[in-house]
Amino acid sequence: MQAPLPISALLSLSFGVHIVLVNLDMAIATFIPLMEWLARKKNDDFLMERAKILMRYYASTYAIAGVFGTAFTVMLLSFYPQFIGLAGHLTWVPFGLAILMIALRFLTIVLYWYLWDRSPPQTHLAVGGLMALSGYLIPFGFRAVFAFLNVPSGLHLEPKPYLDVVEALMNPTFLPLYLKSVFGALAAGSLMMVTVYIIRYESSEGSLKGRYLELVSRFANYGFASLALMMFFGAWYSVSLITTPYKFYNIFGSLIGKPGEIDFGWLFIVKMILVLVQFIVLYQVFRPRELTETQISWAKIGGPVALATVLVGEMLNMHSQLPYFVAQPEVVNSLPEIFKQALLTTNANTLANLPELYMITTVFLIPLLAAVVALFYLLLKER
Amino acid sequence: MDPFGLIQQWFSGYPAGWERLLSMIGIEVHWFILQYVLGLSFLAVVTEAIWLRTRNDDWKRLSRTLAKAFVAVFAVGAATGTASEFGLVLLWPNLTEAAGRYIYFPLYMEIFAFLMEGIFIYMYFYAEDKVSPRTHLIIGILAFVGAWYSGAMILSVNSFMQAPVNVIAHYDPLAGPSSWAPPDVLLFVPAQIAQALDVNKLAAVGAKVISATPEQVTVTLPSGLVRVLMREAFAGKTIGESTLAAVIKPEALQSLSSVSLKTVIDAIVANTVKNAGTFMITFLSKGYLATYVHALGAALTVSAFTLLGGYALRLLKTSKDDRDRGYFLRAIKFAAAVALILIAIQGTGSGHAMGAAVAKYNPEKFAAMEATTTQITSLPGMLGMKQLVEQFMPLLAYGDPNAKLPSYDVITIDYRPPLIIHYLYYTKIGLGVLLGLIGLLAVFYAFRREEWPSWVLWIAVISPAIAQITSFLGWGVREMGRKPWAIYGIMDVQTELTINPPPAWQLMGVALYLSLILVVLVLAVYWFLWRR
Repeated sequence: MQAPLPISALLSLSFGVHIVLVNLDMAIATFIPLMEWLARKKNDDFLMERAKILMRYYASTYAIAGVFGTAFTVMLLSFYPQFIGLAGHLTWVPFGLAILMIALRFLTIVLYWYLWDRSPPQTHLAVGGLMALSGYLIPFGFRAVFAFLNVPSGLHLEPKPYLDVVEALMNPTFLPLYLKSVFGALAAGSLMMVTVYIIRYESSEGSLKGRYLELVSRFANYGFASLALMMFFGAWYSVSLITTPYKFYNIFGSLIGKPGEIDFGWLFIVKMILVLVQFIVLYQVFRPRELTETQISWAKIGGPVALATVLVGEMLNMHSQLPYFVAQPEVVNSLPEIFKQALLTTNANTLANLPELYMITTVFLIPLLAAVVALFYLLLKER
Repeated sequence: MDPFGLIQQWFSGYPAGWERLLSMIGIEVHWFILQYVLGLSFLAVVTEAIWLRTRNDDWKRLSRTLAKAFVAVFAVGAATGTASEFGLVLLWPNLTEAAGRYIYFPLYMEIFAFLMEGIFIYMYFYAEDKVSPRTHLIIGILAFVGAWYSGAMILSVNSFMQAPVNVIAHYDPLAGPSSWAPPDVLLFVPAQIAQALDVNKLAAVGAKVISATPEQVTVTLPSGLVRVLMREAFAGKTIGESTLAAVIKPEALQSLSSVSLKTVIDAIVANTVKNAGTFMITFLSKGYLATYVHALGAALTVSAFTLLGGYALRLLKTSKDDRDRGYFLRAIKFAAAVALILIAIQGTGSGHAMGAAVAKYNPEKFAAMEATTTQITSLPGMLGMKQLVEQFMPLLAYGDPNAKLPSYDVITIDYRPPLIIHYLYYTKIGLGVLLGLIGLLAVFYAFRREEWPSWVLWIAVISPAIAQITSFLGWGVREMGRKPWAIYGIMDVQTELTINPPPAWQLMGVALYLSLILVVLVLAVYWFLWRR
């Protein structure tokens, strides 16, 4: 038995948009202060201007990523209120840490953007560093919760249900999941930069062409290193999932001849193909002097493919444990009935699982998604 | 009761003092910012519309400055909103669960409002030179409509918590204080459950059967019983362990004894929600319209006074021959006029409607606001105006000179809100009047004199702080006055609280952190807007 399809689709859509934008933003927030630092060090106006343009894009889209994150949380609350209630009782520390970092993140974005050229360079760079750092600490809290959903380490039921935070952080799936996510985000962001600057390279002339090519090469280097590290931590994460057999066999079972209850091996293969394409793209543009049409074509698809990889990876991680919120059926089934009901995605809120609500959602969401596209178009449009 | 006693009554007289304090600070930090998103976005569009009509570039400049300000605060407002949302989940998970289960619809619809705000606010700011002026104005309208729509959704949930549509307060102002009784809760019990209940035992605990159909039985239950049942349900008790067992027929109790109480309560509440209208229940809350208009008015008023204060500071810091002085004078004239109009509406229109709604639907809170008790000396009493207020207030609240105020001392202790709200309420009224006078003074100098004396400008400079404090006190009275309830008549504070309350130092650490973020934001926006 599975969760109702519209609920699954809505949660996937909101989480998918959120996670792709967040991954991109996490990388960009690292690149911008880095570019500013390099520009100041080399007294490079071109690089400084690129950093500013990137910041303008970033400042205007980060809130959109946040909005979709909120949408996901509220949808989860509406469709699975018992799960959210239970999570609230247990997750003060990991979610609390994420909240503090989110507040810091938004503040540093505002400060960094508005204080550019209005504050001493060192202060501005320090704010930029804080902006980048907060981006790595937000998923630290959220990934701890995701790891808990893999293996409920630290959960104690007596004398009352509570979470031992130290035990929770020792969760075997936490560290590899967190590191894989961080380097995955950096790889996706780097590949996206490669795509953006290759388009600029193509449309520019003279010395500018060379400058854009330098950027392509720089981000290809970052992308290669990040992707390689992501592969390493991804492999570690895969191995760590042995501690949660239900999920492990749902993902890898069909590949090793022991299929799980729901086969997601095909989605894992799709992800690996997408990773392979990223490596090909990076190979094509790694140290270019001049690019051929074929290389340019590869580079243009690098960014979208990298973001698709993030999306596929997250969907794989999310769906391969359903219909359980905690990917260990034996643990879920041993819990008191009140908890068990909260941890099954089949147990959706009957007051919300209504065709009328889905119609309202469609009517409101489609024009707003079109408006998001219009926003991105206007941001990227030349004056 | 001395001032310390009043604070102690509020803090320790109800459960979860530290958690309530953190929630208050977190939500206030969010509201502090949010008012500018609601107010400045509207004022930016108004000034842009004036520019489109007059083509005087001062209006365009003013509009652009306002847009800069609300875009800056919107980002942090979104973050503090997320912090507030997670704070509610983590500190009050049972309330959050109940909200998600029964009154999720406005929260769900707020997703689209938030999306609308996010998209169009940024489009308004960044796409100005990429679209035509008229299109830009339309984008601005969509931006502030998004913010107002968002407010309408969230405030419907808050209104439900203050006065749910199915809770009946008992106070007859013409009969006087002795007519007060605890509120009752109207419930639609599915027939399957109703069959297991013993009607005589139910009547003995104060329940009344209103009507019965083959599908359901409509009853009213005393809020005291509902409060206990909700607490037991969220504590995970079975029917056999719960108070409900006392009103169940013995033959039914045998088979139902091990059934989770939460399952039964859920079936009753879900059926009640369906009867009220799953999508409409919060919008039918008593006093919702007054709440919305008053809160939106507060946001606009705070924004207008902040504009007034900002340009007053600008005028104080520029010389008389400054090239921008004409623009500053035009801006402050606009701000003064808007501030005066808004504070007048707030005081005489929406504020009155809000007060009348509280008197009618939350008599316990109204009694505390008016301090109809021998435990404290009321502010009007201190000022020698007690008799005047006692004569005037019933007429104002109930529209009848023969009406009487509810007595705080008659209310059973379990139902009393903290008395501190009396002082907060009257301080708020006093500050509201002061804002009205400042507005009058500002309009006088803006329209009748060419130059503003510096003392008037200084008064204008402090007016945003007064407006923010007034708004904060308004929410303080509303939310502190909701105690002992989380949802009036249905769920109390103890029930909504997490089973793992964090230590006080962590709660205070988070509160300080959020406050610090607010301070840095204010300084950054000030620096950004005014540094040339």
